[in-house]
Amino acid sequence: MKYLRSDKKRKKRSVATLTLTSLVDCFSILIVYLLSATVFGENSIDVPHGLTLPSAEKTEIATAGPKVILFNGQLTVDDKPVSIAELRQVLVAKLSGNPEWQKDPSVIIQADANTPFDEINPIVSASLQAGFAKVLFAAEEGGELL
Amino acid sequence: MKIKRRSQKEEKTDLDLMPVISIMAVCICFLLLATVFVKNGALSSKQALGSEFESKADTSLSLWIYVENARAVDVAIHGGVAATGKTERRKISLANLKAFLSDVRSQHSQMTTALLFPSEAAPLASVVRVMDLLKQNEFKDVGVAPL
Repeated sequence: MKYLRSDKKRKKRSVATLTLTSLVDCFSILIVYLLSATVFGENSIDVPHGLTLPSAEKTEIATAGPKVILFNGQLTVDDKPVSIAELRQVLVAKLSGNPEWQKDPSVIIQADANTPFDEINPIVSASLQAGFAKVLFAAEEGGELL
Repeated sequence: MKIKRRSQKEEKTDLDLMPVISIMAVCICFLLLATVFVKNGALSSKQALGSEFESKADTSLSLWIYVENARAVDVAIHGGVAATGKTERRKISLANLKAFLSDVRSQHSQMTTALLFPSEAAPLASVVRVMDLLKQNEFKDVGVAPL
């Protein structure tokens, strides 16, 4: 009996209250930070894993347009592999198929920062021939500059 | 006195924070997934189509930049002087280009056009860096000449 009583006392003593106010404070700060960092309703550029974009300070939001990616020598337009020879035709088809793009025809080029321009040049030329007057070079905002 | 004691007892209420914490936890999970920590943007170049360049380029003052490598560029001012065939081409390091561009803008406030001539070996990072510096110095029309 004595043992039982002492056990009951112990149980009573072990009841502890957790102060949750500080936790709520931390959560609130986290939510405010994440809300300010989140970008809602803007076109984000998905970069393939391993591709290092060049850095820039004054970038703009990439408007709608076909995304041409040159990565490891492989050319893709909106995630579909194409050859350099086919690129112009593909871009013409993309432009004619999207009336919204015809108002301000722009193409977004993604390539590694160290890619020499002679590899980018065929993409720029094909884009111009296809009727894209605005060529956008994807860049990482505020990264390590040269 | 009795009434007083009762009211004091009733005032001691605990606020159940568990639902608040649950909602906040869900919010944090959602925002962590939705947040873009590395922001990617783009630098636009306004390209001339067909004979557009020939008709417009020589009429206004413009800055031509020849990007040869990752360290230095050649610059030349074209326009009114170019009409008489006098263009100065000088070499500037990329580190000094920012100061040069701000000087050019202060001297020629009407100059808003710049044309880049990257060489075959010029890395994309250098081209983008020069474009970035031009945009920072309020050059609105930046074009990249194909090889």
